Amino acid sequence: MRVDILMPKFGMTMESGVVSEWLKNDGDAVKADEDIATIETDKIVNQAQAPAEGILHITAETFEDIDVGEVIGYIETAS
Amino acid sequence: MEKKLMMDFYEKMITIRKFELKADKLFKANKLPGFLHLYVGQEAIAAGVCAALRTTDYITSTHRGHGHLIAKGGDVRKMFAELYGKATGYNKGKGGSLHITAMELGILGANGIVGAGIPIATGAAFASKYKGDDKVAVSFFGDGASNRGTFHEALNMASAYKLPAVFVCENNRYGISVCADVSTSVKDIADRAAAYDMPGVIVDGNDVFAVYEAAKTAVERARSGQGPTLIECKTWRQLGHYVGDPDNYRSEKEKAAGNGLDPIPRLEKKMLSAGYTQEDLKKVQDQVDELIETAVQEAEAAPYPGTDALLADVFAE
Repeated sequence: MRVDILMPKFGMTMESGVVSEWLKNDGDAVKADEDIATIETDKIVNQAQAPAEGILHITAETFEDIDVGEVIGYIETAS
Repeated sequence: MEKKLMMDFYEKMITIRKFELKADKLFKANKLPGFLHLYVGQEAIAAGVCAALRTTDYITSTHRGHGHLIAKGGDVRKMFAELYGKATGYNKGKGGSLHITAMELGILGANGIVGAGIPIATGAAFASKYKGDDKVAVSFFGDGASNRGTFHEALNMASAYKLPAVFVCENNRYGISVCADVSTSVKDIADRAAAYDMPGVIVDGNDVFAVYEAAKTAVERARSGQGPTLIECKTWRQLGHYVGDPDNYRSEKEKAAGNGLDPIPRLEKKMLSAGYTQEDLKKVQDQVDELIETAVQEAEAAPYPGTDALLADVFAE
């Protein structure tokens, strides 16, 4: 099953952010809630977590501005 | 009796924990408007204090308020609806996380302003004494709030008038990102009680029984007309100040030590040695998971308040 990874909302005023660094490679196996990407806004730097366990597929380029709630990648789960 | 009490504490604390972790995910997924401050790690305080209260007693809460509301009997369905800004929420969708109020449960409101609940609870305690209706008012607040003028004015008045109030300071050592070592003149907030001639008690805020015992004593004292108590609960906030907080002002070492004080495994250990089984605990967790899922689904499906509700509850009628 495909589980989308969304640009997380950190704090009340965040509207968009960038992935400044993917902490895992495309195709890596990741666990649920594991840190997978560093997200930056004009105010903060924080980590995004994997929404499920499975294989990571990256769709967002680093430093591409992405709205909160938009897809930055997905996890292909086993079932 | 104590065995039953353990289960009551556990149900409340697990409900709070799971509510908060779900809210964390929903906020990050851009489902919830506003700001969110989570109570993960501090559950024993709300559960222990509220177990010493009657439904008719009052509480005032804080920006980190979900735990107090659940412990005082709040319905998680109406709470999630409020977090979503839906018409079925406690404030009909117009308050949000920071302002949840339920008069029928004596919940005089969460509050977005640090320290603002303290004089409100003192006012409620004054009203109770004036009317002679035997109610007690508890104010929850953090270590940072104890540096505000509201704290000092309220404690003075409550003590001078011997009001039926209990002041519960949840000392998690950080006011947003500022450590109490830097911002606060005393090592123990409880020491401040001496200035207002009331008992100042320090308890392990991660031990729900210790909190309960201290609260029970303070509530009895308040209800019998002997005046207020300041209870300082030493605790630890496991997550950031708000959802999204990078939390880079606390060292990894300090975080690991603080997270190790988690009140829930401590209670579980006590329950297991008192005769409960892993299955008993699992059953509670499953029931709470189901309740939370239902609550979120209902909140998602509920309507937003209509424009006809704009002026509702704004003027006295």
